Amino acid sequence: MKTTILQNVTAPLLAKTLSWCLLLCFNADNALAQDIKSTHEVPGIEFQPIQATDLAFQDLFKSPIGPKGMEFSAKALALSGQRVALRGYMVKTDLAQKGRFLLAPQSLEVNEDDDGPANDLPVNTVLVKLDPSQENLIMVHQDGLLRLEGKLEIGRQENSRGEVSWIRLLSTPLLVNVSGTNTQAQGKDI
Amino acid sequence: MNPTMTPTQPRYRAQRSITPLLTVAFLASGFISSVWAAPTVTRLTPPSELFTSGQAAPLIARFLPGQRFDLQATIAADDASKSITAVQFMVDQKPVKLQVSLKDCSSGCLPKIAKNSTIASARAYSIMTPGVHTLSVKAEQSDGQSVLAQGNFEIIPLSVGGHKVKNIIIMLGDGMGAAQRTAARIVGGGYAQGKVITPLAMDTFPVTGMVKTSSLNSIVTDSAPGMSSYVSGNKNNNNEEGVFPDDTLDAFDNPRIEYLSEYLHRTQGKALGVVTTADVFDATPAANAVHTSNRGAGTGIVDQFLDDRDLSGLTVLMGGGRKWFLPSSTPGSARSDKSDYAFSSTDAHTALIAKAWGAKSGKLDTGRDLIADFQSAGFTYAPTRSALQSMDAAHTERLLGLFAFSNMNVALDKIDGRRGQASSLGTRVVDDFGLPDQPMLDEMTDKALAVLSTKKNGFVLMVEGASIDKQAHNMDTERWILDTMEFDKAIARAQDYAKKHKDTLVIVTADHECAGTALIGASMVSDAQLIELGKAGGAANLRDKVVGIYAEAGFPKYTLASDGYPQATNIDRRLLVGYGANPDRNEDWRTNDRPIQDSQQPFIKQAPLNAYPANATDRDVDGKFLITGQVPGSDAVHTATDIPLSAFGLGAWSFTGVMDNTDVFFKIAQSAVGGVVLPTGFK
Repeated sequence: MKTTILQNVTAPLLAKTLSWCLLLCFNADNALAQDIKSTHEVPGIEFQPIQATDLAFQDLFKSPIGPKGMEFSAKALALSGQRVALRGYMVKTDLAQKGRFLLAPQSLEVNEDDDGPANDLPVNTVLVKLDPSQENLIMVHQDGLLRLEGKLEIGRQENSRGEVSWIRLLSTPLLVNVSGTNTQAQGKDI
Repeated sequence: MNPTMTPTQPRYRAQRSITPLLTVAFLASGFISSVWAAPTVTRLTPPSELFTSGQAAPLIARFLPGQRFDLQATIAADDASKSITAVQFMVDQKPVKLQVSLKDCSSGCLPKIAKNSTIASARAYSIMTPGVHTLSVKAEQSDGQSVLAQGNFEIIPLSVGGHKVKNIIIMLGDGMGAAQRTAARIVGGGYAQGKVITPLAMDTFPVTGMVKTSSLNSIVTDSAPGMSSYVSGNKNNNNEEGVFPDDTLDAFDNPRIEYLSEYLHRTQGKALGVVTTADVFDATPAANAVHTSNRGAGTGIVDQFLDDRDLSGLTVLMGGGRKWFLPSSTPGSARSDKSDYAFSSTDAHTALIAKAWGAKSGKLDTGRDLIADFQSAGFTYAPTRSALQSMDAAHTERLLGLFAFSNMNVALDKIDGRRGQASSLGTRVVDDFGLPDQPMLDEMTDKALAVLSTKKNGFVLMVEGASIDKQAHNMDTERWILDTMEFDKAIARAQDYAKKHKDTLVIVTADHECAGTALIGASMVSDAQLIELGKAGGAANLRDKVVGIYAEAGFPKYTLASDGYPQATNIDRRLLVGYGANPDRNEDWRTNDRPIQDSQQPFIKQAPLNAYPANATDRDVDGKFLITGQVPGSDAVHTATDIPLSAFGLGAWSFTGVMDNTDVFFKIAQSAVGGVVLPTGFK
């Protein structure tokens, strides 16, 4: 399935009346600076539709997984660096991180405090990196199936804590709560 | 006073423990301390109340005759221009004849530790003489001043008894308190007029006691010190396993305590088996053979499992956690230098660990193919249930089973997978994980026993039902109930083994309770009615019309399928579970198969983007039944509540009464080393 998405919506647009769009919470240091609203409510901006290819979690690797590591599927490798759309569940965690969250093929909760890096995450869990314009935002947990679009990035990457990711989605800008009053931003910057 | 000196409390502590000898030292060197700075001992290991508070009891550190442990002291010089030049440990006033390493804290120590502190270590000490011993440390400063501090520890005598236990099986239900056991009994065994129809295997064990689970630094333990207490005889700090706390940043240099596996491998040649449904690096499995103050240091933990197998006798290792075993070039690898360790060959502080203990130094090696290294060391590798089943155990010298990348899937999902039961999304959970062929814990236990039973000197086997805890944290009731049932089936296999091999001891225990779990009653309605009440929502419906208490609860009746697990968990008049150590949660009482509400709600609708309601954090919104919790965060937590322990087989009768978790270690050791004796009051 192809779908049309819109780009170039990162300008700091004002939409104070939009109380419906409670999707992201703010980091206290960046309140209101990151306001982004739905594009069709932005007058005077031209949009360039681009194509995103639907990609299922099951298509990322050859499955079942072999006796050792995983093997990326030909489809995943071909789509590396391309715009894709993924449907999955945001992993619930106590330790939300700025500008990123995990997307899994099923609804999951990770208890960092209890289990540390021993987790119940499928190995094809995708690290979603928010658009650079939103890198200081902390994502509030979303229930239910999410559909995200962005650039697929494949390959090993290690963060400052020694955590390794293999698949990343460099997300297009997400909708943001513009009220700045969401009090549920309890996550720590790790 | 040196401005970098730590707060006065440690200094105070050290002075409280001043002995006559210390007084002599002060007098000899000039005068009284309160106005005159002097070096200070801020930590003395093994930990003791004598050092901490000046009280001789309770005895904190206890060991077996000959059990090895490290001695360590942190000493702060009284001025930045001075340093500690010499340290001597003494036991019962006699100098300890072991090399002492000195590490200065100009780098590598905790921020709270003064930079002019020195950490002195003597590694792998042991003493055979039973009784309470004094441990003293004397440190000299560069200006000639000295300090002396004192602590104590105890060597527990072993009675010469009857038959010695050859095989020890520890069945560790992580987070399995009394409520978890009872729930598995109700769901798996059923009740008729107040009596159990089919008892749990663990309920048939002849001896049961109650265990106090506190760790060294909290009434509420986590799994690392929880397991470590049973197999080292000593309290550890939370997050730490097989070590006493120290003042350095290095997670692998802490003072070690010899594990049961290591002690019995060194003295009797016993083999070690570690089996879990968790990632094998997780706290409970690691706290049988790995020494670290960071239970999260996955790369180093799995490396040490293999590298120090000559210390632990590791022969069987099974569970999840493949991600730590893959070289960093392989997709799925989680190996990183930050979670690894490498002892220095020149700095005596860590070099002594390798030298004194005979341990390997380790290496920062993200590119290591640890599966291949296990295979080179004679381990047969089983990545799936099929491979495990087809293995000829009688001809398998050593066994490595890695069935998942981190924790294995839980029993409910594995069973659904075997039944071909798809979730609401049309896929099986085990397929979502790409690992459709995972064994159940009883199957793993069978294979572990088959391999270990070929070892002529006997074995220590630890089998963990790991996700009883993990799913209780999630308050995912049916998932931990089925995992407790899975665990009980593994217990039955161990019990069968002990029935055939009379020199085998089996204990079933937990490291702690989880979630303050309580069986509050049963639903008064059918599942269809429950769904409708959930749609109506609110406490008036989901609580007042559903929760049957006392006589209204009756006896929930689950029907087991031929695989031994419930045909369905969403039954009429189901068992209801409450949580006393819970965060806020919404509850609709039905099995949490998949996201319950709005599972098809798109995050970003196709353009044009449409407004949709804010429901950012609430789940089960339709139920409108919010249960306010007492704990912060989103997970239920461990509790300090005592947990039940049951024992079967040779030596079982010593496991009665209310005991400390560390007592369990000495009871096991008595049976395995001294021979089985009846506990006091039984003669």
